[in-house]
Amino acid sequence: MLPLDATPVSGPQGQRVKRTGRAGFGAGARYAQAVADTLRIPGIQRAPLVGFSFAGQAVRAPLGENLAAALMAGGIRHLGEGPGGARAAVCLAGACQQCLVRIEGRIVQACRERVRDGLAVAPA
Amino acid sequence: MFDVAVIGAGVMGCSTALHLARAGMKVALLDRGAICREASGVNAGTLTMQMTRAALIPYALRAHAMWIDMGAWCAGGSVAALACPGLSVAFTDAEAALLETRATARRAAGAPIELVDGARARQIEPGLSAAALMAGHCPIDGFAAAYLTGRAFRGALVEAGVDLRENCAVTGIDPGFRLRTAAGPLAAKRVVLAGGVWLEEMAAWLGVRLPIKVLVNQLVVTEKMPPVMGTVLGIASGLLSLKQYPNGSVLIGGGWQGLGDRMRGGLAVLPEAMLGNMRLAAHTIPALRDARILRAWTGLEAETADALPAMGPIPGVPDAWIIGSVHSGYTSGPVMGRVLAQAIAGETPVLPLFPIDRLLEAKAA
Amino acid sequence: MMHDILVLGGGPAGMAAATLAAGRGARVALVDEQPAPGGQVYRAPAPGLDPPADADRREGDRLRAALAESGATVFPGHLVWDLGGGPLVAAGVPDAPFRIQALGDAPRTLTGRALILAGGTSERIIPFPGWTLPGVMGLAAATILLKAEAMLPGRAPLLAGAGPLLYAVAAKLIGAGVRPVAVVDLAGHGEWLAALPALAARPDLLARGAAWRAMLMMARVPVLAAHRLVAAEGTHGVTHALVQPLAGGAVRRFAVDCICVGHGLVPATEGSRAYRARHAFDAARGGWVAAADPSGRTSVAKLYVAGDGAGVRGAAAAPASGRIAALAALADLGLGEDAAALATATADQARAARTGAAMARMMALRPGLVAAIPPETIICRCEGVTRAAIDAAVEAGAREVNQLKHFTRCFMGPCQGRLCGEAAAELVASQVGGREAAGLPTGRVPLRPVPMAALLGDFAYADIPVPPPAPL
Repeated sequence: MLPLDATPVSGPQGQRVKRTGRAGFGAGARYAQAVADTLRIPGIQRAPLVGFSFAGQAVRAPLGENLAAALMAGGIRHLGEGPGGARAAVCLAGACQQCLVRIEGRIVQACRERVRDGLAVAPA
Repeated sequence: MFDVAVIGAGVMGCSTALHLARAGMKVALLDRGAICREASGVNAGTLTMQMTRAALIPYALRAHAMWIDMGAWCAGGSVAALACPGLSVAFTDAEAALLETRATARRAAGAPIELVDGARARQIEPGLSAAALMAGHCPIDGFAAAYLTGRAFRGALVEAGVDLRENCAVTGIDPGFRLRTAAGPLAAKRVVLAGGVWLEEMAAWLGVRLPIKVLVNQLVVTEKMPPVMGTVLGIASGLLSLKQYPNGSVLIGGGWQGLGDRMRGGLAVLPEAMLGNMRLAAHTIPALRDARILRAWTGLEAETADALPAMGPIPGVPDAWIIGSVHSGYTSGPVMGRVLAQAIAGETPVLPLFPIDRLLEAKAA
Repeated sequence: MMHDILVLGGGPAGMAAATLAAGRGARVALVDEQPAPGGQVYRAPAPGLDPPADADRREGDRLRAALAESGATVFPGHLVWDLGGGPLVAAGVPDAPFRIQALGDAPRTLTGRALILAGGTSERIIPFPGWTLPGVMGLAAATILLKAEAMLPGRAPLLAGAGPLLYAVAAKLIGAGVRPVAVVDLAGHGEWLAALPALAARPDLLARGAAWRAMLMMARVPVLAAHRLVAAEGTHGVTHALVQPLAGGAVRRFAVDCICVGHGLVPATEGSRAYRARHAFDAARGGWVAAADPSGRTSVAKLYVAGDGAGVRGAAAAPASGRIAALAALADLGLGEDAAALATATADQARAARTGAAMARMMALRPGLVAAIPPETIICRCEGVTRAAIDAAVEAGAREVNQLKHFTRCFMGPCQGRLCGEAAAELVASQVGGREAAGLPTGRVPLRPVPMAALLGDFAYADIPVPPPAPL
């Protein structure tokens, strides 16, 4: 078998689980607890954690991380309700417009924003 | 053989065809594209008395009621027309003077327009910029969603027995009348030209020279927003039209010119014109600054040499009629079609026609 | 400054095109939305992140380095929202230079005598019951999370759809320590076997594919060939996936925390449509594409298409495609011809495209996926339009997609048809005799939603250049 190009990281047993607190906005409690910051692939240097909020709920994530990803890692996937049902990140490429959130009163795509300290994010 | 063939399925053609069918005629309605895809489907949907030329106020007043109550006469069709107050705003003294002149002329023609100061204007429209000096206020303005027009008419036309032929381009008219179409000839005792900016070409089929100017109007629409306005807004000069739909989107227009022509259609929006239009909008309703722009497009609007409608019989060609080129014709469309249908059916039209003799140049050879 | 060549899109095709042209002395500007060029396959890690590099990362770094050294001016982090110039001029006037409006930290206008569109593709997701549940995302989205953010899409993911991306994502997940709950492949074993001859042209890819399959077997990941995802279930987020053989039969339920689904790639034609270029429908290459000659010349003078945006041929074929378009642009601008380089690039492209085309065919829209959508399923998420509403609109006379837009508001929301457009067009097509008859959406600007505030800037009322007012 030829060598794989996959990134070698520690398996599930080797990962440290960090708790991020209560269930996110509209997300199932069970999912949020299960996820609780285990979505970040371990063994990779990341920027220092900063605090931001979504719908008043505190979330911690590395400075500069993709906001949609940071929300997911914080157990928050359900970003709001649109005319067609739940809004959540679908494409992460700036196309689907389903990851809409509100920052400083303006609608933006979470997948095109980056985490910064003290960022207050609201549902769109 | 049809009693009448109507060429052009915009609001003029649709209204004319529907009323003729209801008067008992066997009607064919043809369009080279799908129903209401040109100006009638892409305009700003403003139903205002304040930008309507004084001579058209009586038509606009009646048509306003027809749009609002469309379901009653159009087999349940709807363009979601709403009545609401309208404000035409002045930001400078020069604009205020213009406003007074326009308001006076329109009031004389029957539109209930009063002049109010900036404070009163902001009572009527709280989101209005503090820089507004005064405004013309018409309590019975309104707006519609133009893109709904095609679907609104189509069901009623089919139900009334109109033979609707979409994607059926007419290329000429031989005497008799015998329309040359891509799908073969079509015979009709009467023809109605209702082709908007293409009336010039159509008139030429009948040997008539009628110059029609083409305006390429730009529109911009925002994403759905929380409520930021409740009236239909304009500026004294006419260069802004603003309305917020029930779903939250705000439509910005005002006749800023984009790129296009009769041959190629609406080709492109010009970013400088878009920017000027958006700046006017944001100056008028500052909350618009927070919006995202979703789409912009152009639509072709027809205008005759004196900017009044072409509506009536075609001189020298018995049983040939013409309707359109009204400039802001969407507002008056339903009643104009009804008026022309009355004339064609030999009844006394409820409002005068606009005979085109005044507009004709020397007959084509 | 007037550039010789503008390149829209910094994926492998765009990077290669800009690198070649700038390397030969042309004034080149490349514009890309992302913080760094790379596109999809060679997406750079997010700024500040440095995960261990794999083969794609190393190739991406190589392309980025070559671009950086080429002399091309690169505008990363810029969203192109308006396309003008070229044939978009008054009647009777000769074509103008291309003029694009981009939004970075400030609005920017770029002009160039030639324009290469290398906008890549977007992923097609055909709706199914439950597809709007949080946790349902694209296969491409999972790739972005893994490559750019070093993040997992979930801890119990199910992958579904068609094409090699299924296995690429599965392998990456296993490498990151997460075992996919299942891989649900629309393709049958026979289809993969039939694609083997094309893969033989790329032994490296063949080996990589075999390695992926081996990883899946070792991790005991169920690979369900010729199966489809029937529905997603859950209340606040997805918790289960229902899967069934294409031939019918028992439905299996899997417990999941996310579903990564992708039904192929669709070339981005927003640029070529904005310029009113001629298009052709080619299902095997992803759908509507700009009609182009072998050098990527469209029906619009000095407008070229390259890469997957010109028709899906795979990332390996993209750099050659970009070089071909750049050579054509240079020749057409009178900046030199190079028949030898063109011949080499053409051969490179052909070699790579043989495999890429086979993979593209696997990703072409499969019959039955759209037909299976239940009537109450939301198609247009931006406007809340169901399949039933679309079917009714077609019945009511909307026989092509632009009229469908007027009859239903599909395509009028912020996604501008990117999420719903394929399914909506297929629904129209099923009643009007095919995609050609259903048409393609008229090109419109802005190409993406843009914030009004960013465009307005600061201005005084007196500065607004007002056109003459309407008649009294």
